[in-house]
Amino acid sequence: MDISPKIRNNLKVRPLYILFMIFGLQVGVGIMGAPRFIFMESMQDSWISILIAWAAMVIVIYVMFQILKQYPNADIFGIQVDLFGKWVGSILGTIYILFFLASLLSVLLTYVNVIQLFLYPTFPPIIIGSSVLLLAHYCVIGGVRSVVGAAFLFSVLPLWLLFLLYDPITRMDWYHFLPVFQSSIPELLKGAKSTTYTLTGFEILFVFYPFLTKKNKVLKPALFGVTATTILLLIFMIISIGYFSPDELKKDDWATLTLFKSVSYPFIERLDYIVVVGWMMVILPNLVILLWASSYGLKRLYRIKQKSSLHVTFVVLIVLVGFIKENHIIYKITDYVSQVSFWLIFVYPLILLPIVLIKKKWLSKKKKGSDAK
Amino acid sequence: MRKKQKRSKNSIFPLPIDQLLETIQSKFEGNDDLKISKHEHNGKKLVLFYIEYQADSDMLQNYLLRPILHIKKDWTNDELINHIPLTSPNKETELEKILEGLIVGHVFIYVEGESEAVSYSIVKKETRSLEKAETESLVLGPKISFTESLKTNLNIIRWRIKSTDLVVEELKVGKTVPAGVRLVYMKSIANEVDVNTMRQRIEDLDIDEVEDSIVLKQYLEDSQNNLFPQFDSTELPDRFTYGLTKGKIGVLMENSPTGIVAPATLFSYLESTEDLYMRWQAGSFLRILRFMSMFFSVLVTPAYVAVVTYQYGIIPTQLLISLGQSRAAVPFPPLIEALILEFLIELLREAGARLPTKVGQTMGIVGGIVIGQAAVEAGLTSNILIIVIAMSALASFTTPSYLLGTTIRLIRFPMIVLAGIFGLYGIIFGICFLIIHLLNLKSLGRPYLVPLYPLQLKDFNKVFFRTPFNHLNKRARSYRPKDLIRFSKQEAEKRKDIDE
Amino acid sequence: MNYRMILVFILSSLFLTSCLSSQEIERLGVINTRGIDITDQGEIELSLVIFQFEAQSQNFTKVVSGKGSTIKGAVVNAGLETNFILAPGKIQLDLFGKETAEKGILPYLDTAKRDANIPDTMLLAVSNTPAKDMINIQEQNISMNIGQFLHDLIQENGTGQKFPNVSLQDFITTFYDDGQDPLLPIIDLQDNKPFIAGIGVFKEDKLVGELPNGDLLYINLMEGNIKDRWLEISLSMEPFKEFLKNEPKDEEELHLAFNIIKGDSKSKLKEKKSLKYETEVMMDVNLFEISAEIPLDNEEVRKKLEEEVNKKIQSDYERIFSTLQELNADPFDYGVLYRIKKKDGKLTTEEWSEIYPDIKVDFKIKTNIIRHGITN
Repeated sequence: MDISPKIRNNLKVRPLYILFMIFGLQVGVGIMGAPRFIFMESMQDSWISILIAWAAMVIVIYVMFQILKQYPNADIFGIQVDLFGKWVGSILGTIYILFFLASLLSVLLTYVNVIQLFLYPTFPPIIIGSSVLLLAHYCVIGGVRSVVGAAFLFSVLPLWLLFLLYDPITRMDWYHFLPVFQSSIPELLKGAKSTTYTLTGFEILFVFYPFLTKKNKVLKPALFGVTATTILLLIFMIISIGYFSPDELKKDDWATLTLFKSVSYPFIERLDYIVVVGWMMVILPNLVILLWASSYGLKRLYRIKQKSSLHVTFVVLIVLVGFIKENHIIYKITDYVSQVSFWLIFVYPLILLPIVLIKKKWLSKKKKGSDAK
Repeated sequence: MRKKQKRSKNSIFPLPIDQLLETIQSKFEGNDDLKISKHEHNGKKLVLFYIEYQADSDMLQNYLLRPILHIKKDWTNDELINHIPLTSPNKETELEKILEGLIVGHVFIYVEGESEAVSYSIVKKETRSLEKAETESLVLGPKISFTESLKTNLNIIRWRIKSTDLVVEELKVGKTVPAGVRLVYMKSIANEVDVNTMRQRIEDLDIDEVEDSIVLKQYLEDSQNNLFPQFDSTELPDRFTYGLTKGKIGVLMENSPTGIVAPATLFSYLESTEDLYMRWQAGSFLRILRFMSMFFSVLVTPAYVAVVTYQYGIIPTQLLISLGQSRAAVPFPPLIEALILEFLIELLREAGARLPTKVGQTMGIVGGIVIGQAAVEAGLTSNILIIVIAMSALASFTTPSYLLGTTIRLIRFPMIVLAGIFGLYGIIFGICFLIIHLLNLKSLGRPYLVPLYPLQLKDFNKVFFRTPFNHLNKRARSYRPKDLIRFSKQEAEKRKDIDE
Repeated sequence: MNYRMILVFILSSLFLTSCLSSQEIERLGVINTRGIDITDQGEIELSLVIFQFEAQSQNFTKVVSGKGSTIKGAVVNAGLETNFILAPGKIQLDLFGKETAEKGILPYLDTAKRDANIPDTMLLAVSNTPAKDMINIQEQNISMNIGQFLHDLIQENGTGQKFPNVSLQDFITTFYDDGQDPLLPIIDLQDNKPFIAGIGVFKEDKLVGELPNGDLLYINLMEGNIKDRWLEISLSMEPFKEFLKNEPKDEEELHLAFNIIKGDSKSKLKEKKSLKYETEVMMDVNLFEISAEIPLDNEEVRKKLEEEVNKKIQSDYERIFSTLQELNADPFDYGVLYRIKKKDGKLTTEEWSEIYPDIKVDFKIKTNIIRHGITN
C-alpha cells in the first residue's frame, strides 16, 4: 500500500474543518456523565484536572503533528506500515480500526441507554440503534465531504442548548468551590485521567490529515478543536459543581442531563426531554466520523471496498446493539474503551515520535552516505 | 454564432420543380396546410412553398411575391435576394433543413436550375401579451413575467441587462420534437466550469421531447431522487437577471414562461428580489421571517402530535388543561387527527389552485371557516390543532419559490408520521435525516447548503440577512463568480463629518 | 447492496416493531399534587390530585388515594380508583403530613430523584393537618383546583413573598450540602381555606420546628438579593415624640410600611476560634405608609428613624437565630462558612451539630431610606 494516499483535490477540505472534526468527535456521550467521574477523583478541584487534561492533549497533538510532518501526506495506517513493516503495521492499523469500532459501539449503547432511561423505557434498543446508525450510514455514503459537513453542522447546531444553562447558573452556589486546591497531585492526575473517555477523538487527526489542504496551517485549528472541547467540559464541570452538592453529584450518573431538568419557561417545560433527544445531534458526528474512519481504514489496509465494509459494519453493529441490554455490560465496554484509549491515544504517539525521528535520521544518514560514495 | 452554411454533400439540388414538389409533398402526406405557388417568367420556373398559418400572409404578398413578380430580368437567386426587401435570406440545400424550416414558418423559393433554395423567415407567431406574474407575485418591483415566447423573453432580458457581457448561447434538445434552448450568462462573472457543466448536460440529453422548461430542469438536475429542487425556476425576469448578475447561469426554453437559474442553494429559494427593493432592515426582517416560517411550517404539527402522544411533560400545566379538554372529545389518536386535518388543508389548497380565481377564494373561506368550525363541533379534531395546522399552512406560503413550498408541504407528512410513532425522538430523527440529505445534495456539482457548509462567513450578510448596499461591494463567494468585486468600497465608505 | 433496499427494510421493521407505549393526554390522569402521609400501620398513604379529561364533564380534577409500602406501589394502588393511567410527569407539589415530615422525608424523595420522569421543579411543602385532609378540601372555597392553588400559594403568594428554595432540586442540594439545613413552607387550614401558616425548619430531612410566617422576609433577605418586597414594621413611639407635628396622641407604637427596592446580606466568619460571625444586612427602602406625621425632611429625624428600624430588625434577627440555635438547625448556612475555612474543607453533620449551638452572630443592619413618597 501507499504510505501517502493520493486524495483527489476536490475531496480535500480547508484546515478549519479539522477543528470541527475533533470537536465533533470529542463531544459525545462522554460529556453527559463526565462531571461525576471527574468529581469522584478530584472533588471541587475537578476544573484543575480538566486543565491538566487539556495540557496533555496539547502536547499529544503537537507530537502527532510532528509525526505527520515527517511525511508529505501520510496517515497513521501508512506511517505504521512504513515504520514496522507490512505485517506489524497492518496489525497496529487493525487495532486502530477495532478501537474506532469499539468506541462507536460504546457511544451507541450509551445513547440507547440514556434514551430508555429518560424517555422511553419500552423503546426497543435495536430500533434506536438502527435508526441512529441509519443516519450515520446515509451520511458516510455521501462521501468524505458529507462526513465533514455533518461533523461541522451537528457540532454547531446543538450549541444553542448552552443557552438553557442560564437557569442552573443562577442557582449555583459558589461556596461549593471552596476551599480550593484541596486535592493532592495524584488525585488531580487521576481526575485528569478520568476525562480520557470524554476527550478521545483528536486521534482523528492521524486519519484525516491527508484530506486537508495547506498542511502547515493544520496545527492551529486542531489545537482550537481540543480547546473548544475543554471549554465545554469545563463549563459543564463548573456548573455541576456549583449546582449540585458534592454528595449529590457523586450519585448522579448523568449530571449534565440533570442540569437541564430544572429549566422551565412559561411556554415550555421539561427541557431535559428536548436535551436528551437533541443529544442525537451531538452523537451523530461521533458515529459518522468513526464509521467513516473505520471503513476508510479497512480500505487503506486491506483494499476492501468502502461500501461493502460499511454495510457489514452497519449490520454487525445493529445486531450487537440489539443483544446488549444490561447496564453493567455497557459500563464495562465503556470502561475498556477508556482504558485502551488512554494508551492508544495519549501514550502511543509519544512512543511513536522518537521512532519516526530515528528512522528519518537514519535514512538521511544513509542517503548522505550513499551520496558520498 | 451559427456556422455559415457550407455546401453540403447531400444536396438535393439542382432538381426539376415537379420532382422537388413531389418529394416535399410525400413528406407532408396527410397534411393539407402545405401551400405551393408556381410562377413562370422569361421561361424560368419558380416555386414558392410554405405552411399556411406559420407564415405571415400579408408579408408574403407584399414583400415577397410582389417584388419577385416585378423583376424584369431573368430569375436567379442573386437577383431575387437583391429585389426582395427582407433581411437575412438563407440558402438551403438539404431536404432535412428545408423540412425543418418549413415547420417553423420559413418560406422557400426555388428557381429551377439553381443549386440552392432561398428561404425567408416571415414567421407569424401568436403570443399573449406581457402580463403580471401570477405564481410569484411581488409587492414592490417590476411586475411583468416571462411569456411563452422565447423571443419576448430574451428581449426582456436584453433590455434589463444592456451589456455585451450577456451571452445567449443557442442549443437544441429533443429528437422527435426539437425545441430551442438558450443558455444565458454573464461572460465576465459566471464561472466557466459551471457554464461548461450546464452546456454539457444540455448537449448530452438524449430524449425525444421535452414538454416545458420545468421538465427540462428535472432532466438537468443533479439527482432526481431528491425531495428538494436543485435548480431555481422563476417566471420573474428580475429574479432571473438578479441570478445572472450574481454569476449564476440561466436557461430559457421555447414555449415556456419559466426560466431556470442554476446553481441554487437551499437559501437562494428563500431569497426574494423584493428584499432588495425594501429598505435593508425590512428586507432582512422578511428574509429571517421566511427562514423561521420554513422551520415552523415543517415542525409545528409534528411537535403537536409528539407532545400530545408522548411527551405531555413539555406542555405547561395551564396549557395542558386546555389541550386535554379539547382533546378529550376526539375519538382518534393525535396522529390520525393531524393527518386528517392536514389532508383537508391540502385538499382546500389544491382545489383553490385549480378553480377559477373568484370561485377559489370562496372555496377557501367555505373550507377554512365552515369545515374547520364544523369539525371541531362534531368532535373530529381539537380546536388547538386547527390553529396549529392553519398556522403551518400559512407559514408554508411564505416561501418565494413555489417549488420549495411544495417540498415543504410534502416533508410535513413523513414528519408527522415519525412524530406519531416515536414522539420527539422521531422529530429529531427527521430533522437529522433532512440535514444529512441536504448535505449530500448538489446543485450543478456545487454544495447545496453553501454558505453554511462549506462555511463562507462573509456571505452571511448576503444570504441570511441583508446589510446596506454600501457594505455589499462583493458578490457572494458561494456561487464562485469569476469577478468578486461589484464596486470599490472606498468611495462608498468615505467618512464624512457632520455638516459636510 | 442497494441503499434504498436497506432503507425500506429498516423503515418497515421500524413500523412493524413500533411497540412504544403511547401516552396520549386524554388517556392520562396527570398527577398534579401528591399528599404523602404515613398510616398507623407504617404504610404510605398517597392522596393524589389528578387531571383527567373527559368529553362529558367540565370538571377535570379528581382526587384519588392509594396505599403501599413504596410510593410507586401506592400510585399503582391509587390507579385502581380511576380508569386513567396515572402519569407522574407533571407533579407540581409534594405535600407531606406534619407527622411524616417529623420522621424525615428523604425516603419519599428517592423515587423522585431516581425516576427521570418526575420534574425537578416540583415544590415541597408540609401540611399541618394530614396531607390527605388538605387535598380533600372542597373546591368551592378556593375557586380553583387545590393542587394548582397550593402551588401558586407557595410560589408567589399575595404579599409577593416568595419562598426560597423549596423545589425538589433545591431541597436535595441543601440536604446533601454539609452545614446547611432546608426550610419548607407549612400550610394549614383556616375556615376550610388553606394558607401559609409558617416556615418549617428542618434538621437534615426532619421537621424540627417552626417560625412564624412573618419572618419570611428576613429569611429571604438572608438567602440573597431581593427586590420590590414589602416590609411592615412597628416601632416604639418614644424616640419620635419630640418630633411629632401634631399633638401627641396616646399611641404607643409607630407603624411603618416600606418597599424594599434592593436588599442584600453578607455573612462572614470573623474569628474561627471563638466562632464569631458577622452578618450584614443592607436595604434600600421607600417609605410608603406611616401612622403618625413626623417631619421626614429633617435630617435628624430620618437618621433617627433609620436607626430605630435597624434596631428593630436586628432584634428580630436575633430572635429568629436563637430559635434556630435551639432547634439546632442551620438554614442560614453558617456551617458552610465554617467548612470553607477548615483545612480539608470537610465538615460532617455531627461535628457541626456540636459546634452550632455555640456560635455567636453579630447582626448588623443598614437601612437606607431613599424616598418617602410624594408627601413629606
